Order: sequence, then structure tokens, then C-alpha cells
Amino acid sequence: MQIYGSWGKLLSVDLSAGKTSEERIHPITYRMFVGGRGLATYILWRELGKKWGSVDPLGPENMLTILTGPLTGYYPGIKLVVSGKSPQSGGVVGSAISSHVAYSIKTAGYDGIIVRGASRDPVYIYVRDDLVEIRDASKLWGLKGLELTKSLRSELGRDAPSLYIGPAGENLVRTAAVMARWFHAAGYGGYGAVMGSKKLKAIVVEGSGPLPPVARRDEFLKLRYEVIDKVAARSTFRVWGTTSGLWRVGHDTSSEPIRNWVEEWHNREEFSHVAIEKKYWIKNPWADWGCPLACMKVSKAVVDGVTYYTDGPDYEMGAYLGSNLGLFEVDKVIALSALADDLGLCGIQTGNTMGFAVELYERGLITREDVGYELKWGDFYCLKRLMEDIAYRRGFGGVLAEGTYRAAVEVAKRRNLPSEEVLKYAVQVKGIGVGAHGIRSRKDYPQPIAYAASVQGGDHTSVAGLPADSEESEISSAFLDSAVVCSFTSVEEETVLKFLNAVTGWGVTKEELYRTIGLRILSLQRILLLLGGPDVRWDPRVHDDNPLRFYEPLPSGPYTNSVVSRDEVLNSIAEYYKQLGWDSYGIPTEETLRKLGLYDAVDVVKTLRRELGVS
Amino acid sequence: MFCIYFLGNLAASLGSTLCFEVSECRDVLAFLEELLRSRGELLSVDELLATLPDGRPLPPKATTCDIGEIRVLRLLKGG
Repeated sequence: MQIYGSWGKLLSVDLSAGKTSEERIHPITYRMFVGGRGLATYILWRELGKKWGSVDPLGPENMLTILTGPLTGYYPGIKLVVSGKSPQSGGVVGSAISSHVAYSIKTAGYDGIIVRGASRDPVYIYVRDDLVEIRDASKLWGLKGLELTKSLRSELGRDAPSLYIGPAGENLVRTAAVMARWFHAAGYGGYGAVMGSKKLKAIVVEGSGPLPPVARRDEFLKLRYEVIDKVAARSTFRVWGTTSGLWRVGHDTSSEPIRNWVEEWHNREEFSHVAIEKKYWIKNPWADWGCPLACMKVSKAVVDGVTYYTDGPDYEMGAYLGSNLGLFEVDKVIALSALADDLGLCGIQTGNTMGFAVELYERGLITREDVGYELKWGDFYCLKRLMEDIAYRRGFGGVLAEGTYRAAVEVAKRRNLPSEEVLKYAVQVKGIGVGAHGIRSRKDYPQPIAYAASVQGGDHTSVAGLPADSEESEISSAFLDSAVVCSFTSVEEETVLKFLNAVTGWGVTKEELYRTIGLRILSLQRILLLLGGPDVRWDPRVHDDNPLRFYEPLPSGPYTNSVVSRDEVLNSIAEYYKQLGWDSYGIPTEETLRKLGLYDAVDVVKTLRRELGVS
Repeated sequence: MFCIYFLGNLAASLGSTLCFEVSECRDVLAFLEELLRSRGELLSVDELLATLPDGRPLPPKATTCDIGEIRVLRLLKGG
């Protein structure tokens, strides 16, 4: 059976056995799950689904999937999706990252890399077309991002595309990211810790072959130019990047986390893209392979004689390592962002946990005796120390290294308090800190169920919304992450579908995307999320909800007193689930599963219902 | 007459169609941004996808005199 856009094979690496092999994927599987997030979900379901609840995300049984999609290399922009059982949510998170590795994987003749087992000693995987080696990384273990990339360059004699982890991943920090090219991060999900648990420091891929064949070349080329035209017209993005969000989200739409989300509005012009550009940007624009948008900007700041470089800071880093920590001094925000990059921490998840810790300190729920020093909003020095303590699991940093949800449970335990008394300050959904886009003003993320009903919890790049068969639905994100298309270079769905069909030769319609393919991926992700385990289990009646902070009225700014109504949230979730063909608990019905061809999920779901007491 | 067809969340907050009598030729994207801001939607045009009704891109420097209708979708989420 001819396949277009993909090779139909993955590189399989078993680190326990020290062996590598090729793994064929049937063309029908691609047609059913597309690639990227969808294919990862299918593979994880197929291999681990029946025992999901007992699989330790940081144990050798878990898998690390690094997958491209059929549009990788063809569609403008370059991404891949990292996945596995998430050490944060216990479900499957499709964590997208920009990286030349995506293109290299395809030109090496694979659609992705699946890593199973765990090595006893530090290793890295080296791929150069047909040559695949598991190499000793004992000299690389312990290195931070910048040191590591220099060492790899020295060892290989050139810059080669790579994914890697920093010390945070090695130390199994649940907010550790898989990194690429200094500043890029697959942060959501905590897959840096999964790499660390496998003693896998890096994956280097050099491909020199062609991309797979395309079904309808002329149509593909026409569409490619059409998409480039549309994307290139986004001049604000090209000029300002996502840094512009620090003013648009923080000021205009009042949706930026400030001091652990107590507020979502600021009026600080010094904390805007205009001010940052003038003083800190040294390279603009900057882009990865094949991207016509070029939204990256390299910034440089010197703090206490130390020079720091980072991207932007892009909006999420600026918000979570700046305003969310009460820090509005841009040079110091750049320093924290650069430090997070270098340590291999997800700035969103770690900034979420750090803001939570400072609030707990302020409220007396943790003290100087716990932390070893004082925590204060906007104090760069204590925040820097706290970030390093998390990355190296030093002292109380070891508690926070478990991420906001688990840290809250642990603090409550230490204080002999009910968990709810500490969790009410945790701005997370199902173990995943909420991205830097609030829902209270309704001017940035207008859907109140964006996070509460997402299969990726607080992930701001995969939010739920009504109607379920529109681009507001999470199916839309699942599709982009499966195809794999960068959300910043995506255009309207009709065109992306035409693009997909021109490359693959498929005839996917919008109806099929929403009623079958996307719903199939989302349904499997939802089942695996609810199966969870081994240390966390989500109850839809409790955890399909917003963080309590989002039910507090906004205290400042143009949308003062704006608040989300819990009744509206619950009613909207019920309607969303109904439209998806799920029951009132968000569990896909037997009829839906059979319609989607997920026959082997029927019995699993029956057991799940029994365990939740909702059968 | 210049008409804007909104899709998704924008349609929910602004209505699915807005039409205007335009007395002067205005840059389409500048007109759109001004309109959105006046209606309380504080979005940059770069977060939107404005196309011709059939999905084709707008011609460069298109004005409200060149084009009678556009379709607008809020495309980018996050950042």
C-alpha cells in the first residue's frame, strides 16, 4: 500500500537491551491517527493501555515518543511532538517543540523515534541516516544546555540538530522540559524527566536523504505558496514575536498571571515589547528551518556581571518568570528565562510552581525553616536560588520539583491540613500548571471551559471550547499536533486539510476530522487521562474544573470584578461532552467508541466506570 | 458596502456578519483592527486570519474599495 507524506516506519530504541530496530506502521494507522500526537496516543494505548494505571511515568516501562507528522517538512514551520505517559498528568500530553530535528528525522528516513526501557548509564542516541548508535554520555551528564551543545559540537565536529535535557531532567524534576537549540522547549507533560529516567541525555539526528513522496505535487506547491503568503502577512508577529503579549495580554485583555494569578492586569510600559526591543534584543527576527514567520527574538541582559541570552523573553516566559513572580525588571526576567533554558526547566510549569510557593510563604503555609531562606515577590535573588533548588532537588526544592499539584498535597500533609486548604492556591488543572492566558476577563481566552475540559489539563496550546465541531474545540489542536503544524503558522482549517490531502493523497473532510479522526485521538487521550496513576487519579466530578482562583473576581484593571461562573462552566462542560459523544462524566460512550473503531477500549472503559463508581 | 463575516468566538461576541457603508477607501486590515477595538475585542490583526470569502488570501494592500467581503477568524491562541 503506497504511503505519501510519511515513510511508514519509526526508529525504535530499546535502552534496556541496548538495541535499535525499525518499526513499521501500517498506512491505515496513519489514516486513523495521522501522526504526531495522534500516533503517539495510539502507540501508547496499544502497548501500555491495558496496564496504564500501574505504569510509572518515570520507570523503564514508560515510553518516550518523538514523532513528526505527514506535514513535517512540507508545511511552513517545523515542529515535532514529544509524548509518553506524562509525569505531570498521568495521561498523554502531546508536547510540541520547534526543532530542526523534526526535519532531520524525516530526511534520515523515519517518521519518528520511540524510546523504550532505560539505560543503566548515561547515553545519547546518534542517528545519521541508516547509522544508529547508542553512545556513552557519561561526560555529558550533568551539563547545562549551553555547555552541552558546545560539548556535542566539539565531539561531533559540527552543529548537529539535537534534543536534550539539562540537570532538571536528569534529576527527574516533573517540570523538566525536553530542550532544543538553547531556548526551545517541549515543556508541557514533563518529558524532560522521562528522558532523565531513561538516562538519555540527548538525541542527535542528521538526515541527508529526501522527504517522503507527495501525492499531488502541483497542488501541494500551490498551497505552500498560499500559506506562506498568509503567514508572511502577520507582520506584528514577525516584528514583535510573542513578546508583544506582555502588553496585549497583560494590559489590553487583562489575562496575564500576576503574583500567582491574584491579578491579571498591569500597566507597566517598561514591561512591554516596545521597551524590551529597544534595550535587549540583539537579533530579530530569528527562525527555525523553513519558517516564514520568524517570531523568535534573541535578547541579551547582563545581571551582576553575568551575561544571559534567551528568546524574547517570549510571552509565556515573560509572564511566568516575570509578572507571575512579581518581577517586572526585564533584565532579571531575561536572566531567569535563560537560567530555566539552561537548567532544562519548563518556564511555564516551573514559574507556576514558584509563584505558588511564594504565595504559600506569604500566607505562612511554608516558612523560612522549610525553604531555608525568605521568599518574596519580585526578589530576583531568592527566585533564582529557588529555581536552582528545584532543578537540583535541593532542600525544599525537592518538594517543588514535583510540580504544583503534588507539592500542594505534600505541603498540606506536612501541615496536617486537608489538601483542599493548600490546593486552593494551586493554579493548575489535572497536574498541569495553567498556561499564561486567563479566562476571567474573557478577552483573551473567552471559553470558560478552556482548561477545565482539556485532555491536556492546563496546557494553553490545547484548550477545549464550544462548539465541539469547530475550530474552538480541542479537536482542532489535536489535529494540528498530529499533522504536525505549528499553531503560529496554521491557517484556516479548510486550507490545512487541503494541504494534508495534497501531501498524503487522503480525502479527509472537515466532517471526518471532527466526527472521526480528531474525536478518536481526543477520546483515547481522555480515557488514558482518567486511567491516570499510579500516584494520581482524576475524578471528573472533582477535577473537571477550573482552579479556584479563576472563580475569584479580578481585583484590578479594566475588567475589575469579572469572574467566571461555576454554573456556566459545569453546564458548558456537560454540553461539550454531549457534543463529543461522551457521557456526563466525559467518558466516551460505548456507541462512540465503536463508531470510532476503538473496540478494544470498550472493556477498559467499563472497568474505568466501575472504578469511578459511575457505571 | 463592505461586509465582514466572523467565525468562531468572534461570531459569538460580535455577530456572524457586520456590513458597513464605507465612504472612503480604507486599508482592510486597519479598518478591521479599528472596528474590533471599538467593539472591545483587543486583538491584533496578526492573531486573526482575514481572507476572501472563499478562503484565498487578501491581495496585498487591499482596501475596502477593492474588496466587498472578507471572512475573519481568530486563529492564534496563546504565545
